[in-house]
Formats: sequence, structure tokens, C-alpha cells
Amino acid sequence: MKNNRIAIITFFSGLLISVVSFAQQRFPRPDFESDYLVPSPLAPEPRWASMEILDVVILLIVLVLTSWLAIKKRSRRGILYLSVFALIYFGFYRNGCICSIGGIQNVTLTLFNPAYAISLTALLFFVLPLIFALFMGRVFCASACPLGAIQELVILKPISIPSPVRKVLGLIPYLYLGLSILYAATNTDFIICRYDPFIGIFRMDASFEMLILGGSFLLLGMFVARPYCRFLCPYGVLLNWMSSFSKWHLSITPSECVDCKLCAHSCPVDAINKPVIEPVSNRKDINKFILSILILPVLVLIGGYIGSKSHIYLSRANTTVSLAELMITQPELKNDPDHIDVQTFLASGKTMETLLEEAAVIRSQFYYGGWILGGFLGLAFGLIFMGKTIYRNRKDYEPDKGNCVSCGRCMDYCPVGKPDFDEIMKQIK
Amino acid sequence: MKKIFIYIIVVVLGLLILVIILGDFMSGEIKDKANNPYAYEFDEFKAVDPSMIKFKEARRIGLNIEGPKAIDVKNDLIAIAYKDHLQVIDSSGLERINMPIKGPLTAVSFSPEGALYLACQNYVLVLSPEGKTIDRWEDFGEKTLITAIAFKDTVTFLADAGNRQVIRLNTKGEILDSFDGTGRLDGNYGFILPSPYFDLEVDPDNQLWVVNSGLLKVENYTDDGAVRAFWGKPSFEIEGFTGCCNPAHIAIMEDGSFVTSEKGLTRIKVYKPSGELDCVVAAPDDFEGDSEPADIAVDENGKIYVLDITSGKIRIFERNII
Repeated sequence: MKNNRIAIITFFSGLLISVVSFAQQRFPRPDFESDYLVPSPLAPEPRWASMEILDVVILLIVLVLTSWLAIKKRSRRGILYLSVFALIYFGFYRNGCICSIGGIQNVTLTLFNPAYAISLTALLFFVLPLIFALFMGRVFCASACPLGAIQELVILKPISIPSPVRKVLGLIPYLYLGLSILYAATNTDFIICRYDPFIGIFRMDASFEMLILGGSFLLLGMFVARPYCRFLCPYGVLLNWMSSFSKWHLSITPSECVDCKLCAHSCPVDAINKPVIEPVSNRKDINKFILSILILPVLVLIGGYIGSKSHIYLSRANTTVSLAELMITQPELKNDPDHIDVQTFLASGKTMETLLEEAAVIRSQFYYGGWILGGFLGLAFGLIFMGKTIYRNRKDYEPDKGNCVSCGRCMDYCPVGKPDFDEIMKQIK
Repeated sequence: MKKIFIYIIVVVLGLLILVIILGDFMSGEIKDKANNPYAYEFDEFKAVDPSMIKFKEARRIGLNIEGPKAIDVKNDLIAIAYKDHLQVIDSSGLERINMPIKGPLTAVSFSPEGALYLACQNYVLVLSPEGKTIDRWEDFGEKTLITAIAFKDTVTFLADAGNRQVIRLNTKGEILDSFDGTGRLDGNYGFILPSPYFDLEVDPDNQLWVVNSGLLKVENYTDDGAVRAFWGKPSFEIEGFTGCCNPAHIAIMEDGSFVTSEKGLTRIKVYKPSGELDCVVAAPDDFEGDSEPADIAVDENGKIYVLDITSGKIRIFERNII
């Protein structure tokens, strides 16, 4: 109920800020009286350099504060308030851009396209959350990411997803990460921005299709906590890797775990590992582990092969390739004055041979990219399989460092150190 | 809520998300224009209600030199500036002056005394009514692009599209001052000129009117550059102005009415001195294809002279007599 109130306040605050930000255009866009549908741009209006620095400073402050609230202060409420702020500022006010998640594409394009240079702001937005994840866990997901924040506020009755389903769905972010890098590297598309389900809500200009998508994610998020973060977010893959090594990750209990099990079901994202004492590994387990190592290169090769075979299909998303295919399969379109793409190409003065050469180069990039993408997915699948063969003894309930989004709910549930500790323990017993 | 219902909702929503994302992903990049909701179509706006058209084309004068740029009319004389020529003809079509000018010419204007003022990009030539060079005003700067000239008492106004400013000169061509349309106020936008069309005129009451085309407005300025009044609104309908920047040209009639010429949706209209639409002179269908915006001038009898740059003709329009 309280969360709902916060969500409503956030929504209307965001709406107000959006109106203010619209009024900050360099000069007013004439308000034509027509039914023309103005396409929504992927990136909002450019911003003054000094204001971009302010964005970085605010991100840094939010990350530092979240780390302090999660690790030292242990305040779930503080983290929640910060996430509301991030939703208003980075979501509604900054229109969801600049964004660390989309930063993957900017970094990729910088590495592969010498004509493109990433701005320092975009680079810092990409790197800072990863650095914090390496030391403090996924504090970015907790309260700096507007996409995480909007999903956090709608969690109503979260259900636990069975582990096998989680593992399978957990492969989607790897696929999405691989595809977004492949598409950015080949200068094809920024698919992370294209399929950002909440950007239309932040900018208040969602197309019907994207409104349904964003609404579906929010409705789903009422029962499956943070569905985008867990089963789609490509940046989450990188944060997961970093956070797995985090030194000062949030802990459920401030001191000794009393094994009250109160936190066991508190985590909406199924990121609490239960205590487990595994028997000393037997021969069967060792064989499984060896098999997983042996199968790893095979999976990489199979994945790479499938990826390379998909390159023709994947490359069709590139406008040059699809235009070349179109011109070959439907040459009569040259005479269609209504076909914008074909007419634009013809007006550019380029020859068909040049177009085909360019398309061939891009398709070859997709061929090698397909090998790498497939190999990467094979590796991810193999490592997940390998993880199932490794047992670690665990005495207490602990957060799964990779998957934990540091929302702090579990800390709230833990009775250790609370004034009414004795009363709670009595009730449990 | 029973768990089974939650699972059903979750599965349905999950499938919906999958269908939307995969559906868009697999639909490909290039789509037919028929399915393109963002297609820039404005043919429907070319239609003009015939009852709005209150002028008829009375005459056409063919031009024998290529590349007409600007026109002005006074005392039965029509001056046409070409890229590198000046031509003056009378209303019967008889040529009075035809002389090459080291151009490119960008504007032409008769002074109240009948002298000819020619803008050649960044300098001004002053010619006698017979075409003899009287003066040459220079030193306006390399970036200057003079697109219009107007006169008020002893002051000459130049519209400088290059520097987005109006320059005031004395009778000797010396710069008195200039203003940028901000009205001397911080926060005002000033002249916004996305394309090099920047016109100005002085009305019969000696008021200076400047086209702020990026704002799709015609603005009235005091001598010291403060905005006193303005009119014009953005609209695809006939009452307003369309596109990035319009009107491209204006002329003012004896009764203070404004004649406007637009680009993009090429059309000529007359507005009352209050800025309210009076009538249409020429509809988009009266021009060939994607015509260049026509320069316009009006004479003492209310005839409108339209320099149809695309067809290379002067088209003279007269108000219908009921």
C-alpha cells in the first residue's frame, strides 16, 4: 500500500518534471495543427556539458549513498527513497537517457567504429556502476537505475520462480547482451534502446506497442519481481559478474545468523542461498565436474557454428543488407516513387555494385560476429552447467552475490540487532 | 489471490512480452511506406477552398534571362534582380534597363524617390532610375547576406540573414546600429532563420515589419529594435504558416494589408493589417511541382506581382471585382 502511494507520487512528480524539461528546448517547436505523428527519437535533446557532469556527480552520490545505506546503515527505507529519487531524476526528468544499460552499445561502437567516440559522461555511466558492483555489489540496481526503481515500486505479491526455469530464463540476458554488442559493433541498431520497455513511460510518448510492452512488464513485475532486471537486462550480466567478486557486499544479518529463517522468503528475486552442508564430493560428482569441463569447448563450438549459420538472418536487421536484398529480390521497386528507402538510395547517386559490396562486408562481419555470439552463449550455458556440479558448504543464509540487487528487503526481515529481537524469537519458537 | 491465477497471469504476460519483442525484431527494418505512420504527406493540405481565392491572374510576363531572384515594383516599373543581371521593364513588358552586375544579386528595392537599391550578397549598390551607379555601400562583413532592403524617412534597413540581424543605415550608407530580434531582452530568441529567407518591409504608417521565419511570425519593431507587435501562427491550415520557416517573403499594400509568400507549401495569401487572414491569392496547385518560393511585390493599385522563379515568369494578380 505504502509502495503504491510512493509509486503514485513518483509518477506525478515525474510528469511535472517532464513538462519542465520540455520547456527547456533551445527554441520552441511550432505546434502545428495537423494529425502528423511525430516519431519518438531514441535519444532526447542534447544537454549542456555542465549538466552532463551534474548527471555523473548525481550518479556517483547515489551509488555512494546506496553503498552506505546497504552495507553500513542497513536501511531498506533509505534505499527505497533513493530509488524513488533515481526514478524521478534519471527516469522522468532525464527521460531515461543517459543510461548505463545502453552504455554497452556506446562502448561497443567506440571500439569498432573509428568514426565514433564515446563521451566521457557515457563512459562514466557505463563504468561507475561496474566498479561499485566489484566492491559493494549491485548497488546500481538497488537505487540508481530508473528501470530497476520503477519495477521495484510495483512489486505486489512476488512468487518464487523454480530454479530450473530461472536458469533457462537467465540465459536470455546473455543472448540479449551478445546481440546488442553484435548489432552495435556492425553499426546496425541500438536494440537495448529500441526495446527499453520503460523509456516511453519516462518520456510520456510511448507508442501503443511500447505502452503495452511497458505495461506488461509492470503488470508482470507485480508477481515476478523485476522481470526486466532478471530475465532481460544485458547490463545485469556484467553487474552479475562483477558483483560475484564483491568484497563488501550487503549481508543479511549484521552479526551472527540465528537461523530464524525469516529472511528465507523475503527476497523477491530469489537471490538468497540457503545453508547447505554437502557431503564430501564423491566419485560421481567429480566425474560430473570433469564432464562439464570437457563439454565446455564442445558447447562453444556448437554455439559458434549455430551463430555463424544465423548470420544471414541476423544481418537482415542492417538497413544496408536489407536494402540490398530488397533491390535484388524486387527490382521493380526502383520505379516505385512511394518507396522511401529505395528512392533515397537512388537519389544518393550510389551504384548497385557499391551497395552490394557494402552489404557483403557487413554480412561477413555478421558471420564472424555470429561465431563469437554463439560461442559466448555456448560458454555461458557450459559455465552454468559447470556451476551445478560445484558444491560449496554454506553455514548461514547468504545473499547470492551475483543475482542480489541489494534492495535490502532481507535486512529488514532479519531480527538480529532489532529492539524487539527477543519477542520475535519467542514468536518463532 | 489463488496461486494458479497468478501463474496464468505471469505466463500470459510473459508470452505477450515475447510476442511484442520478437514480432518487432522479426518484422525487418525496411517497411512499406503504406505502413509507415511517419510518412511526410501533405498533399491534403494543398487543397484550398475556392471561396477563399479572391484574386485572379490577370497577366503573365515571360522573362528572357535565366535565374530570376527578386522583384520590386514602383510607378509602373518592374525591377527584376537575376543572379548577375538587373532588368527593369514597364508594365507593358518594354525593357528599360538591362545591365550585368557583378553578383550574386540577392535583393532589389525601389527607394521612395525611385532610386534602385541592389543587394549583392554583402554589399549594396545604389543606382539612379536610369541605372547609373550612384553609390556603393560596403564593409558589412564577410558573413553578411543581405536578403531585403526597406526605407523609412532617412533610414535604410537591411535584412542580414547571414548574421541574423537588421542593420540600420543613414543616407550615406553608414551603419547607425543593428538589432537581433531579442528586443534587447535576455531570454528572447531573436531572429531564427533555419533557411536564408529573411524579409522586411515598412508599411504606409512607417512601421517596420520583419519576418521571424523560424518562429513563423511577422514582427513589428520600434526604431531601437524592440518588438512592439507580432502576428502569425504555425498551422497546416490555410490561416497559418507551415514548415521550418515561413513566410519566405512579404509585401505590404497601401491599406496596410500583408501579402505573404510561403515555401514548401507554395502559396500566396493576403492578411489584414491585424494579422487576420483575408484571402488567398494563389494556391499551391497554381505552382509547378516543388516550386521555389516566389518573391512578391505590390503596386499602388493593389496588384500583386509574383516572381514565379520555377517557370521564369512574372505573374500579375488582381483582386476579383464583385
